[in-house]
Amino acid sequence: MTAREPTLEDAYIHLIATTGDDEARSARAASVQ
Amino acid sequence: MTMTEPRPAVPTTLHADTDGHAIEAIDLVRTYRTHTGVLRRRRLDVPAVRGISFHVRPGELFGLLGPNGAGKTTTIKMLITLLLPTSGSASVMGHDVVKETTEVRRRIGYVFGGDRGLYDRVSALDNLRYFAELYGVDPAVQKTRIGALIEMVGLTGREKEKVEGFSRGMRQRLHIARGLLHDPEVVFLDEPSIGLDPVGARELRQTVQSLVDAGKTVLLTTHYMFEADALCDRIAVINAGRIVALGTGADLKGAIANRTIVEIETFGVTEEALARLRGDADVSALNVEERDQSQILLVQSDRGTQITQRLLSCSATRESAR
Repeated sequence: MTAREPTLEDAYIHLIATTGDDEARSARAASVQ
Repeated sequence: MTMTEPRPAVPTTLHADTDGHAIEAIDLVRTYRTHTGVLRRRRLDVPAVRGISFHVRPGELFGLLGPNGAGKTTTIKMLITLLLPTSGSASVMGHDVVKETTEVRRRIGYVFGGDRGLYDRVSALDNLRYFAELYGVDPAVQKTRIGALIEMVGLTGREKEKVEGFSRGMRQRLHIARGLLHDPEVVFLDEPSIGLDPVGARELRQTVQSLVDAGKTVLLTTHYMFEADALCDRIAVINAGRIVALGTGADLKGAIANRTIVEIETFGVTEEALARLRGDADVSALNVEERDQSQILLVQSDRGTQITQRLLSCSATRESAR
């Protein structure tokens, strides 16, 4: 086990994990007509 | 990043629209319409881009990052006039991408990753001559420009060989030369390093850097964070059709600067253990990378190494500390 400073990849993973997905899924479901 | 010796620059000057932007997108939206079902067909509107706004300065290398399906390529396709926006507006070098498509196309080059876009059975030189004709490059400047571009992308001495014998990295650099034949002011690079080995990817990064050195404005999409961090002046992260962060690499890293990343190498970690970790109040994010026989857990936490014992007990299967 190692501990280290955050990299851009860590920042990216955090952003992708904390934004978008649920909202996108609900928007897609709501668009079915 | 270290650079090789300066290569001959393709002459160009920095221009911009009246606001000083080489590229400007304002609230761009694109929705794809499709259908689902066979007997009971239903219309399905799939939002690919949902209100994206950003600008790129002249001479800037701007990165677009995001997972597959986030809307990066759709955004680029709207900017290069291949797709009409559903709503919103965009301009390149001051020209509207919907109303002034010809003016925009004269000023842009588009380079995409993959094997398409070149003729395998003719030489690199003949490929460039052919595309120079298609782009309407003045015959008087064709020879000099093609020579300069071959030099710039590091294919000097190989230009008379057939493309079918080229490595993927060489093809990709030839793609870039092709995209620059008409001396565009703005270059769009859509995942140019996809599928390249580390050496090829490094050579390609040097080529991309030389574009900026030559005064081009570059918009780059990539999945390689190291590449984006090394090259880009500013980066926008797109997720689910929206920009979720925009700034320099340092800005983006600064957003989680108070965090520690704990890497745990495990063997055969279970979904239950991962669920326990994700449910831990002190775990801000968790990502799993498969590496040979092991799984590397990347745990982000504001509590630093204070929670390592708890992490180890949560992920307990047959972990190996390193």
